[in-house]
Amino acid sequence: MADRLDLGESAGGNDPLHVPVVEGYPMAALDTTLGRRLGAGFWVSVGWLVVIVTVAALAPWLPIADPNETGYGGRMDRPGWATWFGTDTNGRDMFSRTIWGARVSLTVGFVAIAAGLAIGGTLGLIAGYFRGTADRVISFAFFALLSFPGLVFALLIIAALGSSLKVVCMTLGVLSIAPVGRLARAATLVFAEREFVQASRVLGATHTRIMLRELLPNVLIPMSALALLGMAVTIVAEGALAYLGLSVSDGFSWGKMILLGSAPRTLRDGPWVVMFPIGAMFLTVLALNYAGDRLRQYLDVRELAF
Amino acid sequence: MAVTDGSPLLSVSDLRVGFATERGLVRAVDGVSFDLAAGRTLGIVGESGSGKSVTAKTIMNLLPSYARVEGSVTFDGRDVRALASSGARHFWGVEMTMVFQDPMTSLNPVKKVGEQIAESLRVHLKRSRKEARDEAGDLLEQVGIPEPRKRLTQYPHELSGGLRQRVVIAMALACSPRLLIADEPTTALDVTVQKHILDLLDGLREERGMAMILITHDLGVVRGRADDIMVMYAGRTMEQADTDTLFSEMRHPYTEALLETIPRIDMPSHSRLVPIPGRPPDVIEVSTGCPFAPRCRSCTDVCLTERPTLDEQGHGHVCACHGPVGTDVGAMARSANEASGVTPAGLDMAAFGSAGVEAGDGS
Repeated sequence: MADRLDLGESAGGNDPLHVPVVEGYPMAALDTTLGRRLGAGFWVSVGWLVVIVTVAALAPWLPIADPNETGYGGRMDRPGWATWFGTDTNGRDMFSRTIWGARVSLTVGFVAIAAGLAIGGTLGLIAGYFRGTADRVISFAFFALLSFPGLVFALLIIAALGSSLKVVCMTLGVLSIAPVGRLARAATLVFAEREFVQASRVLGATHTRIMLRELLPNVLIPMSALALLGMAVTIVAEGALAYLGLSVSDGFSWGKMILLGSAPRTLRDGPWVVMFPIGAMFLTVLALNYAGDRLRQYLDVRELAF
Repeated sequence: MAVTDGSPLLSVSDLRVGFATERGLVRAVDGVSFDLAAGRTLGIVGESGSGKSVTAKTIMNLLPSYARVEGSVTFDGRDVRALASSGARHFWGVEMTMVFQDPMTSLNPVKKVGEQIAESLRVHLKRSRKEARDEAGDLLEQVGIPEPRKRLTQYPHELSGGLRQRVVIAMALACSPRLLIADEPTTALDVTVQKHILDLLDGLREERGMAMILITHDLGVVRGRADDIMVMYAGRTMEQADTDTLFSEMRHPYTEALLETIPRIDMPSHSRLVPIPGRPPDVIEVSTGCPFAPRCRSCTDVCLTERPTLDEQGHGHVCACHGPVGTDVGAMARSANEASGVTPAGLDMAAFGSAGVEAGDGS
């Protein structure tokens, strides 16, 4: 065979198992054709998220204006060299405020979805693994949570407990339990049927061990994609709450900035006051959604490979 | 049954397993008994739905909680079902374990092969991380995996089906169990790999003096590998004997029919394989007669009304049949059916192909 292909000595000689590597057609190209790559868009999205998270985390140490210092510039200065994003009605620097606003928006998004993953994920895992009564009780609780209008629920809680950062995170966290939990349950049901779960039982593993060591790593894969999408949803939800004047009284988020800049006169005279927080939120939510969706597709393909 | 010295390692006695369904009680296993001595191999043979896997799962405590189990399973003098309910640790995986049919799903896709093998060593035998890793490498070498140390860091999807089944076997053997149940260990594999895996299992069993239950639908697989064979049908034992006796003095028409479904090297090539007509029975219907009667070519009137008992045929050979193969009763029943062209159960004898009325092609 080898001599007919005329590969010569250097390209594997007579070894029938030798696969010739064609120049300019590396394995990476093969990977793309199989849809096994995350693509440039994913990395651009992740890049944006890394930038916004870094900047928000480092805000107190960055050489930027105090976001609450009124009269930093003039009132409603246009974006320019002195104030990159302009100033708002009180003369506060919008660039600094957009960065500081990210702190609250991202914190709410992250903490809420983390709580959803921890509580919903645990419940979903238990429901999917043990089935029976545990499943019926937990699934009913998920349905009850899903049937309650989310915004009304949030309004009630915040009206009752006040709108501190903690309460807003908790409220949105509770709302994310059911969607996350249902996914965790569905994924667990699929994997619990696989023989590797029975195999680890015949090797003497306990239920806890099976759930944590065998099922959780598998269930986390689809959940990680949902976490990104869920964070996007939560950031938008926080914006909606803020717009109703119900979010975080002890600070400000992008949503609250949009509310403050949305008076008709401000909108007419200084549209940049709302444009920059809206833009930042738009890009962040877009990046989260895109990255989450790509991740989901990527992991689905990986799933098929088994 | 052929227990020679002392008490057997595993003793199953009058095991009955039922599943309550909307249509009624499914009797998946209906009064199965056998003993297995240390270091011996028992082959359990039967079609899909014959109850062989449920028997294995009952022994391994893998049945869902709604299963109704009666009878006893004793391992080395200990009641296995009591152990299960008391949540005994270091029993499953250490004393006995199981290899499943499909190596594609019996490994965790997101964990490295080495971790999966090392896990039970760490849990049961309290090995350190490094010791467990070294032992995992040794195990992979024992199951004939090339470059075992390199494989430890690979994921299951990087291995072929045959290699994966070897990994599964290595996992099962990690804590040196005294009993290994292999539930159709080669059904999901390429034909070319099947023999290697079976020979490997057999070799390891002999090396370690382990007892083994080999479950299969293929009599050819257990021939030459099992010491004893139990043929199951509809949750019941049809025939049970040591392997040589079973093949030389086959008594049950079902065993005979099973053997005719597999190609044999001593038959001329292109000889027609004889399928078993009909389907395995619905185990919900409690038939009064023999469950195999509707598909049996030696069926008689009594087969339809009376359940045959498991009778001794000599040397621990038992068989549940009213007209066993190789007896006058059986031969008479068969020739009567051939003469009339139809069995008392209403089965056309032509369905048996050349063995029937004439060499008709069943098309």
